[in-house]
Amino acid sequence: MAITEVDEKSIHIIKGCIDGDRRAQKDLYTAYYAMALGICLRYSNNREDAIGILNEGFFKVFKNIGKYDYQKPFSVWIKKIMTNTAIDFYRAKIRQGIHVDVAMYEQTIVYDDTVSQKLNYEDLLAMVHQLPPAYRAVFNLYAIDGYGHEEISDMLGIAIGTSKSNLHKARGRLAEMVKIQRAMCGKTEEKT
Amino acid sequence: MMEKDKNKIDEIFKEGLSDAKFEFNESHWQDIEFRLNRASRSKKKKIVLLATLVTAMAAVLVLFFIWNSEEVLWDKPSDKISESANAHNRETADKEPLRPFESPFIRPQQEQQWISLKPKELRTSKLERIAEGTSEQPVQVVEIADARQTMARGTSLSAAFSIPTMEYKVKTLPSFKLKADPVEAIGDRLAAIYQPQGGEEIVSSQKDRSVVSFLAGPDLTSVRGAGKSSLSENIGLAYSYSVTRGLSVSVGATYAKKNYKSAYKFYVPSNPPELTQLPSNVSAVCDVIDVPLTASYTVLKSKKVKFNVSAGLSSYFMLKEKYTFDYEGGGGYGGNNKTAVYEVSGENQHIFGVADFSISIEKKINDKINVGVKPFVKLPLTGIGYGNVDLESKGVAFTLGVSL
Repeated sequence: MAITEVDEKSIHIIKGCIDGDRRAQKDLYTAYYAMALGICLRYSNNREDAIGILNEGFFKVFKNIGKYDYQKPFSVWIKKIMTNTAIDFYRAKIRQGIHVDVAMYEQTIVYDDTVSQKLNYEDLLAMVHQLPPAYRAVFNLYAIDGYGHEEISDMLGIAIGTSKSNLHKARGRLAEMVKIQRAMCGKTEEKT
Repeated sequence: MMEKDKNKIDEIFKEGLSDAKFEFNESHWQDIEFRLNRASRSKKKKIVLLATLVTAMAAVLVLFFIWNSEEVLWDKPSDKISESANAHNRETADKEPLRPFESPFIRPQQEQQWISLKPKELRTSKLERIAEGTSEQPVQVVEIADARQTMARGTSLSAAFSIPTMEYKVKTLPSFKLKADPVEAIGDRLAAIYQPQGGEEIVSSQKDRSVVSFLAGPDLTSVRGAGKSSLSENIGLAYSYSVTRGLSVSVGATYAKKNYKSAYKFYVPSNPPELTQLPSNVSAVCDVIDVPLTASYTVLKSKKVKFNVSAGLSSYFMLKEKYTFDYEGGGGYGGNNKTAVYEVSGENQHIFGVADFSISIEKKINDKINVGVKPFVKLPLTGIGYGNVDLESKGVAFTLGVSL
């Protein structure tokens, strides 16, 4: 169960982590495992990378937990660290020469009402993973984590215009994928 | 695109991806636990390393004092003594011919004037046990004209007293005859002791000679943060030019074979290859010419031993770099674990790219030759080599210097 507020038990765990108590660190890791892994999966290409980001993020959490401000929600602090770690990972991939040809993802943007129909977590995550990393990072930061284009341009080292453009293309691509997914679901329902 | 549609897509994904539910995986915790344990060990290692460095420095200082059988001359006081001695010498040069290095305190017996000393009041229970019989022994008493001179040559002054041999068989204390010496003469005599043999030597003592040093030694090279150190070798020459007394500038060239290993994540190549799979680890072997430019200051100095601290910048000229990339699970090459080798020659130079700090202790073997020990640390100011890694070296060099 995730710690939703900084209660006495949480403070006890956090203080244990500050002291380097391995049991307290495991308690914290267990409590925030699902939430943090969810963030990492959204930003990464695959589950293996996500686990790498997750543990890198938790390592930073344990290393810097002494800097945590008790006046603020702990979950927000940990989310920020995970997001930043994921962005660092993305930037490192770019530096290391992992270039993805985004042109292959360019498609006509078509919207209709079917996009509003409910899709499950795995379907949505699979769609996000199909986005080129540059689109995915901007979409995650803007649409899900609530960052503005100016912040995104700073975080990713891109122009604000590029951030806007990537978001637009990411939305278009996702809309298309949602539409296809819905169509496939419709066909399956008709058959049954 | 309609604003409504944009928001709709955002909402679908925000809501749908917010309720992630994953079962806790113990193996993931074990991974980070291993890393935390390693970091903890690394922290302890750093503490041990720091303690070792402090101990090494202490050992160097102890070595300095053991080697140094002569008194330690601290720079400023020695200057003043020398000046004072010269001044005395100049003042008295015309009055009385002096015989340097002949002890001025020892004079023929007949020239001495003897006074009697009867310290009966100073009797103690121990002294009262002294047996009968009194002997008179000559003791010279000198009055100290110059306190600084006295401190500088304290041992010589002490030696001038002829301490009576206490015959404990006698019952009463001996009475001494002490000779009163004029105050002025002592300063002159001390000046004579401190008088240099020639004017040229005054200059040479204030400014050390230039030295060419041969140096060789091992170091531990590592990529900062990678936590793995590998043994590397260094061999080279250095030329040291004395700028002022105690301060010198050195330039040199050292050939180093640097070995280092790290995870690939520490590599940030300027021109990365198009990789479908990243390597996990990299082993590097680099032939480097290290050109250090350093300033050294002599902190402690005696006739035979010098203790210096140095700081400066090094330039690395990478002659040959050989990188072996390890791919876990074969990577893009298929099959089991595979490796790929990448070599570059003469492509990377890092002018003043490394900060250079060292301490050294040198012992003079003779007028021309000295030997020394020089612990050093080299810290990167820029990325080094093809991978632009933060390459650190900590080691010790053994030096053989020849004065020019």
